[in-house]
Amino acid sequence: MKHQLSIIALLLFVTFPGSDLSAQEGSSRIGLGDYGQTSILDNRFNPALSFIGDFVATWSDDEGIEAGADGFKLRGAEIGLFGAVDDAYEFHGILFFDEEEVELEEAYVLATDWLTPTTHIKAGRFNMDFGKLSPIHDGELPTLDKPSVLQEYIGGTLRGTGAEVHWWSPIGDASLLRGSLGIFQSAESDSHVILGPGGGHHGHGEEEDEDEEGPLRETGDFAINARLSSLFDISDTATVQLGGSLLTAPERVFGVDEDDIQNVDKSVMGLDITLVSTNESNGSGYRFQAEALINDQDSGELDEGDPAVEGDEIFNITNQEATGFYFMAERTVDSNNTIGLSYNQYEHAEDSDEESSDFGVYYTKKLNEFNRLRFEIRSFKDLALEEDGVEELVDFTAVSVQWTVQLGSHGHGLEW
Amino acid sequence: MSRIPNRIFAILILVLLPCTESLFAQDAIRVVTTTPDLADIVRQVGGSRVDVTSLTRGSEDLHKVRPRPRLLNTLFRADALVQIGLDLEHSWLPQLLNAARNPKIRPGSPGFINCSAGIEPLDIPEAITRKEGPDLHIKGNPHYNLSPIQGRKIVTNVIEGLCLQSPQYCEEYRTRGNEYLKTLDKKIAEWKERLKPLKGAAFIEYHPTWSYFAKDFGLLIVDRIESKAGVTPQAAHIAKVVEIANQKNVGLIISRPANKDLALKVASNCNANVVVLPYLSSTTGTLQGYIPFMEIVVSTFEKNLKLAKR
Repeated sequence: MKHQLSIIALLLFVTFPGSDLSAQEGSSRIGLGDYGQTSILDNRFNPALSFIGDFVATWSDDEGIEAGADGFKLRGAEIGLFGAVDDAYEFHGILFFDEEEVELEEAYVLATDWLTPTTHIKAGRFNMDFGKLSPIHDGELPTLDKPSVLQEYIGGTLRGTGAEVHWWSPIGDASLLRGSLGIFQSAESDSHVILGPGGGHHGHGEEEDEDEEGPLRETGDFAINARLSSLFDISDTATVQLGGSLLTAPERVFGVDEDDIQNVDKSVMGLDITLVSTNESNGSGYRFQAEALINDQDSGELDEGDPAVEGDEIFNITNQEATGFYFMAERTVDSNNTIGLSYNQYEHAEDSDEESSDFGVYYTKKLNEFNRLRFEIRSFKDLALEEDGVEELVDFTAVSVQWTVQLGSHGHGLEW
Repeated sequence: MSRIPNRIFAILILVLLPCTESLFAQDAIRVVTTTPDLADIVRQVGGSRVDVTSLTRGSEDLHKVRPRPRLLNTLFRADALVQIGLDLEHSWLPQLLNAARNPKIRPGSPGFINCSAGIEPLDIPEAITRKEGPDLHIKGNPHYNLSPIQGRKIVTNVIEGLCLQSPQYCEEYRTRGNEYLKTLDKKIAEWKERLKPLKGAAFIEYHPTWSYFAKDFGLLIVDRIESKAGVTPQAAHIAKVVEIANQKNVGLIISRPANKDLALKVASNCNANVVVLPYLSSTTGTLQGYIPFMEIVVSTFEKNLKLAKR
């Protein structure tokens, strides 16, 4: 008992800082107040924080499926945390909130000195490096939504849990080559779309249902993505980028029964070209960007055959190849005002006989670096579910106003 | 040889390409500067020992520089980086440094030369909030290069930086640097003499730029057209600036090229001339070189403030 009391007294003495620190108050000795070890949890090493809020109001003349998007909507709010873990690792985390859910969008570690100086490894959950606009978060897009063709084939954003190696090399004075290769548990889509094929709801189109996966997991079952691009300055003000991306997402699903494991594949290939020109004295400039995609995917369907005949079930796998593209052209009049147009045309991923398109014009007003308004009018020719349950191509137009605000840290990096 | 080893060989070459740079290293130190002012000073101090490249040409708004391959490659190959600091290059340089992953020029390494070391910043905001303007410089006004007296500090910082980079040539750097400082001191004395009769003369600027220059030569900045850092002024603020210009009999408005229209709008309602002055020297033309650039700046103020006084 005596010992226990002594230990408690000792612990109280050691952990209670009051007596020691109070003696330092008012002291003029250099270092006691400013540099002395007076803090238990020093907040100076806290990560950088950012917050993005994205508010959208949309009205369309469509009475079908897209009508759900009409009205005011908090598309989402993102909280970002970024910091150096130590001299060789960085951590990036992005949490997404909307009116219905909280989601961990990205959480990954960046290892910066494992291989060559210009190679780094990303590991965790993050947006895959596929094409130009797919990895970008919605608040940073040049238009209201991800292009429809990206929504249709990859659900807007490709996200996965896995690892990705990034590498770049200078070529001459004004060019560089950049590549990435990733391996992921699965390829999920996750964009917060207002209008388009994924519109009006939170799309998880390509997400795999773990329960339906086959029990065996081999190397070939993981989703793999790769990107190679080249950037070159064609003048003091203009840069061209050519890129190619590939995603393959094999999946093993149950066929007729638990012993019947079937392979279904999805692969998407994309080519992109971007031209950016900026007058750095006043911020004006222009941008042209285009991406073309080929989507190749298997669909599995159980044909139950004759119910009276045992074992008549067949698991049919059909393959569809569909192509599509988008292009956009933007003119930045000055650092605060940008006008642009974009066009999408694509065959449907699951029924390539059907083709959709949309055309939009937009005006972005940067009130300042942290506050932005966008007006967009987009005309769609898209499939909509009619009252009789049959999908038909319909024309409709939507008008949107988007207000994006940002607090805290952000950067203007190289457009890989 | 089968095709697979060929592919692996090709990938290895691509991956190792960045490492080959060091095999072909030159004798001269590859110094990269963020502005032409700094490039000229490094050339004056380093002589033939340095191979200097400026990342900007002098005509840019340093908040609007777009990170691009040429800038990245230049930083990747650099032995030393000389920057203005005080967040002047904050919107593009940290991102490029992060992507270049060049250990020689990482902050804290001998090759990272921050010329704002030892500068006493002016215009440090009292309240650190975006309500004071989205482009608020929380460390203070970064345009100390417009003060020839602070320019001396840039020269001494460059001498120290190059000495750390290649100690074997330090004596050479000091000799050249001191020669340059003598020339600069002579010019400062001459400029002070020329602007002495104009001491106390008032002018208006668009954005907080000329504070250091005004302090050096006893000039007075009576107002700014920009209401807050990065905020385009509204009509009410412009009216206030016009009122002050008329009250204080201001005859000169200094503007940047991009803001000339608003400066002309103010000038049209008061008796002032608008002069467009860049805040950096240039890589080409008459504004090339730090001292020649400052000579043009001083001459411009001298001529226009004399006109305003008449």
